[in-house]
Amino acid sequence: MSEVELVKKIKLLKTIKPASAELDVIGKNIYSHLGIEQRPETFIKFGSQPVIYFGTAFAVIFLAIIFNINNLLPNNIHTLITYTKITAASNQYEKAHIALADIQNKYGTPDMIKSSNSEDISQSLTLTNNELSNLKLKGEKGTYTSQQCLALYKTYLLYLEKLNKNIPDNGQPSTRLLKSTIAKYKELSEQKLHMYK
Amino acid sequence: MESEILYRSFEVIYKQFAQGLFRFIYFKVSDYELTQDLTEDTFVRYWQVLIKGVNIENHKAFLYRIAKGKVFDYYRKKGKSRRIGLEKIDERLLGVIDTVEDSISLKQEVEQIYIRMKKLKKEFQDVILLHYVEDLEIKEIAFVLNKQENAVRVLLHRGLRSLRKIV
Repeated sequence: MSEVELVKKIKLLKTIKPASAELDVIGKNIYSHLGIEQRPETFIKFGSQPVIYFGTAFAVIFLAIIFNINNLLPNNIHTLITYTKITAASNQYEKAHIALADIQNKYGTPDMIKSSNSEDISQSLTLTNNELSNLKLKGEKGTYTSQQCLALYKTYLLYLEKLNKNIPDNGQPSTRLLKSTIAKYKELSEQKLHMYK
Repeated sequence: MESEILYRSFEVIYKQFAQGLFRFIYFKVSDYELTQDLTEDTFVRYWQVLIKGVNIENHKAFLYRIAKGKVFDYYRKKGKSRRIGLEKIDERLLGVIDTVEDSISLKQEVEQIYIRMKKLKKEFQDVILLHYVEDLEIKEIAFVLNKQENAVRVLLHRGLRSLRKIV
């Protein structure tokens, strides 16, 4: 049996899954265990159209605002929101786009870069690089093009150069590590750029 | 404000990953009710870490790592060795198959590959499941299993080779 056929068989195991009602019960138990009051579902289905419960409309609008001004929030919340957005994205191009936009937003100017913690920058950079490196046209054909990937990588490379230029050369181990990470990602991205051309 | 954001984010992540985590845990313990408990424990632990404000780089990988830890803790506390049963899959997990055409032969195929996978070494099962069934990338699997990426690649290659011999 070829590897392709074997993998196809293995993927049959994806059909093993609990009913959604079961997951709802587990969800309720979790909230009960944690002593958290369960909020109403953000969306309900009316026929095939999602309808927002009146009581959660505020929370949804509020979250939409927060998603756009999340650079004012503490870093861990910001990261969680970014990750949630990435998780909810429908394809890998969107995920990569969100991650890249987020890091440019958070560490876009020389002042922002200089006043930020190297570890935080490194974490965001790793997330961005991971999402970009997961771009592959195979399997997601039709949802995004090689031209879009090329444009994204060009933007990313420009950003890496800017980031590297503005990181202070203070001799700190964390700064040296960040600079060497940027150099590595730059090299990998240049290779990818040729692939999409 | 912060707790509302955390709650909603947790809700999104739960909906996204609960099903896969349940399946992963079930594969390791082969007990439906135990899987329910361990899935619950996994998310409870995840929430506890979340509210402490710990920076989590990859939430998906982090969740699977917790799940693996919970299974390990269970067997350690119970003093049981890992079950390597050749049990049939609990019917409650095959509901979606009943809705498709030719469900009987599909069920047989699924059970066959399930039983074959259970015969593999635990390490091989983990990497194959995480990569091909739960769609984790190599670097994510490396984090879950606390191994180097190259080691994961080698395990995946050897795992497939072993499985091919018995399928």
